[in-house]
Amino acid sequence: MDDDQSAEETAFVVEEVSAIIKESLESVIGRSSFEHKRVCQWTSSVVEQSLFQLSKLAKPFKYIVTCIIMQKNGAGLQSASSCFWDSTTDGSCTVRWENKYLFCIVSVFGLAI
Amino acid sequence: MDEDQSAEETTFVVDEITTVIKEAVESTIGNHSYQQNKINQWMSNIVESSLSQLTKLGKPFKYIVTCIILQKNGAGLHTASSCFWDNTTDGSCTVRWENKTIYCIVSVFGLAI
Repeated sequence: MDDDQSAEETAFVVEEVSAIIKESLESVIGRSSFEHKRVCQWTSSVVEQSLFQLSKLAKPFKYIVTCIIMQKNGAGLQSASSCFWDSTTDGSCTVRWENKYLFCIVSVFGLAI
Repeated sequence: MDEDQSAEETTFVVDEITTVIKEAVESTIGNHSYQQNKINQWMSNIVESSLSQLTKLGKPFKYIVTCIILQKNGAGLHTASSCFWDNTTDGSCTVRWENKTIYCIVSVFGLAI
């Protein structure tokens, strides 16, 4: 029982992180359209809010949060990532989100200390 | 003298990594125009060759390499990233590259073990 609990506290739980990201996106962007002047602010708010919530989980992890916001304009966008880490303890989670005017891709990488 | 050398071997050197990334992108994309069917292959090549060059540096780091390729089509794109890590030992580096039809953004995050 104790072992399971401590494993839970020190593992990278994808669902938990996913939920945090989705909440940040909904609250920062919601249904807004792509406004050139505000997008800078949104990307900063999304990453900072997500990071703040993640650090509150108080797990022994270093985090990297990246956010891409793109206007729906017909352009092609591809994104990839590759990691050199400890696959038993580290993990990542990517959330793809969209509304009528823009796409948003947020990736979180958690590396055990 | 010895101390300087060992500090050099265990720190995140931005210039060194920028060079590695630029080489990987140039050799993969070069002057090609945006082709939907080749993009996946290009992306995999870039992240994999960057990561293998980085691991060859033999430094005690975990690495995360992310790559974004965007067609030049007038769409707006914003990216941001935020990191919760050890400021004294960890670092990141972002390389923006473009040709006539493609924008490419590669980010490398290095976290000391």
